[in-house]
Amino acid sequence: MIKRIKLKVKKLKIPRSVGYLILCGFLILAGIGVWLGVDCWDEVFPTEETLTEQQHLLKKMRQELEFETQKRRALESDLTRLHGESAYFYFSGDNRRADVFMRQKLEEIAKHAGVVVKSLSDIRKQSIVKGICSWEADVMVEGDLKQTAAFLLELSASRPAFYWQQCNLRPAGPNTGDVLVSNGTLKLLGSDGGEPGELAEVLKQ
Amino acid sequence: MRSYGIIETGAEHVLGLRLRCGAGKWSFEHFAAADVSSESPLSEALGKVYAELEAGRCDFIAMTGSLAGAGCFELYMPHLKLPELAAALEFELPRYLPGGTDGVLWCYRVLNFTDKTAAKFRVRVFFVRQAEWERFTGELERSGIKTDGFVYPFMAVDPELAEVPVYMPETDANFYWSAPGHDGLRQMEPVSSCADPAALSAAASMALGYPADMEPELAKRCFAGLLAAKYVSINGNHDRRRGDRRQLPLPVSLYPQRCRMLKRLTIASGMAALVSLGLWLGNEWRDLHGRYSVVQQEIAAVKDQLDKEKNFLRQNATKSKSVSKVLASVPSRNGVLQLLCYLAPRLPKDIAMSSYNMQGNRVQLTMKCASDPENALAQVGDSARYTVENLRKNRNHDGSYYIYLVLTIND
Repeated sequence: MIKRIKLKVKKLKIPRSVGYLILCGFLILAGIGVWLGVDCWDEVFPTEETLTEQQHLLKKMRQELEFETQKRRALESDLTRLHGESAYFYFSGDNRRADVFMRQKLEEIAKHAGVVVKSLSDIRKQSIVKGICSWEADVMVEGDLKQTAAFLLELSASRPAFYWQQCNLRPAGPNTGDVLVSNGTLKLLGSDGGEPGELAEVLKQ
Repeated sequence: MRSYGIIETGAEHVLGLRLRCGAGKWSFEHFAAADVSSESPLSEALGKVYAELEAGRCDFIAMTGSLAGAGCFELYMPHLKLPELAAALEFELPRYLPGGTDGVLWCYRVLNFTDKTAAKFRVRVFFVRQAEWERFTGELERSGIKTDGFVYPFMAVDPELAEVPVYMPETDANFYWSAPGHDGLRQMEPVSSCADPAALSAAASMALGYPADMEPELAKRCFAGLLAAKYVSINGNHDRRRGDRRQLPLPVSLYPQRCRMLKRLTIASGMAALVSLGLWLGNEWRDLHGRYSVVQQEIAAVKDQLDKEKNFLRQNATKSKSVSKVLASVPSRNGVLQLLCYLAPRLPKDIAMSSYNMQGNRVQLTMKCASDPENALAQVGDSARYTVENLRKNRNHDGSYYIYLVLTIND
């Protein structure tokens, strides 16, 4: 009977390797516990130094937020400006070619203002971004002060608008009275009806 | 100066002494006595003496006197640590006590503890029957007195009367304490073996000495009390330690509670200080944690907003570039007319424009003025829309001036 009990007791003995494994497991768990404890210590028991650090971090983040907000506002402002400006853009909704339209419109405005078109170059098309192009033409007109002013006024008021990329006003000659020569590069902005780009929704069509 | 209250119990009376000791000098303060009889039992007499003596105010209160069936003997023991010595005595005592140690309480004293040259410990053991001790402590409890300990007179004989045989009939009428023999140990000898016990008693009393302000007769009467007082003045605090068998155990209720109010006040103050410290720390923690939480919440909110802003800008990065590019290629729509309208009222009346040249947002103007415009051009740069980059004038031969103006149109 005693032998049996001894045998049973022997069987219950934990082998040394298992003991080491248990010890390792316990140490790992204890290590994790300590690591978690150390990690959370500052949150549970913050010090003035920790608080100051966090306040500095907050200040830095606020500065960054201010910078990013300014960038967003600038973008929104640009989008609004472009949206407003796009009211003066050319859109090929009426199936006319832009270059033909530009030439016809310029001649029409010049005629209406009473200035003489001395020269008008070919229209040059240039893509700015996807969906938006510019058309440019070199033009030279001649007229008195009143006619020139009317020409300039009608150009800026027309829809779509003509922009002066470059403008040069000067008297026609030393003894020509108030006759002025206006020459420069006129520009028309808009869409040629191609594939709309990411600004399609911004443009006022 | 320390005051000692010594109460000696005898079969027929209780004696009390209040003494004071400072720098080795003893002074007598008070004596009290009460008879023990069937009308006035021991507990009552103890109470009376204790009260009259005002022993409660003493720095040390010791009981001494006779106990039925109590005794002393001496033996040598090897040098051992005190707990081991107690265990060794426990083992050794049955050889000295005829009835064994069952039902017997004992304590010991090492007489040559400080003598490093001694080969062995000279140990004096005091024993008493447990029943007698319980009866005695019961009487003490009933009397309501307090005491720091009990000193059996024969235990206190050394070192005051180291070489003197001592007979104390009040403590033990049948035996006397012999002088150390050839083996250096004292033995309890029967009085019958002594020729003149009264002479022994008188000699011991003479050898002990007593306070100068004490009557010799009183000193002789209080011989045991004086012995106990001198003993506790040296060993009292030491023997008050319990648990190493150097004192018989007294019920806890018998120990005097000195400075109780002060102790309670100290404990209360300590607890109050602890509570205050806890509250203060808690408050500090709550305050700090509150502020930390607020900052954390703000950080989370700012981070959330920052993520939104960054996401928005990331999603619209291409659009932003395109918009910038398009806007950069949009010149001022009616810049020419606006600039002319702006300049007209700010220029002198006798001025004529000879050239207007605009490239993007930059405008170069050449004007001719019949006379010196002087300060008339100062107003040209008063608008935020235009920035004057250059303004200069040249005088001609005919007294007229050419004015050169370069402006930038601000968006």
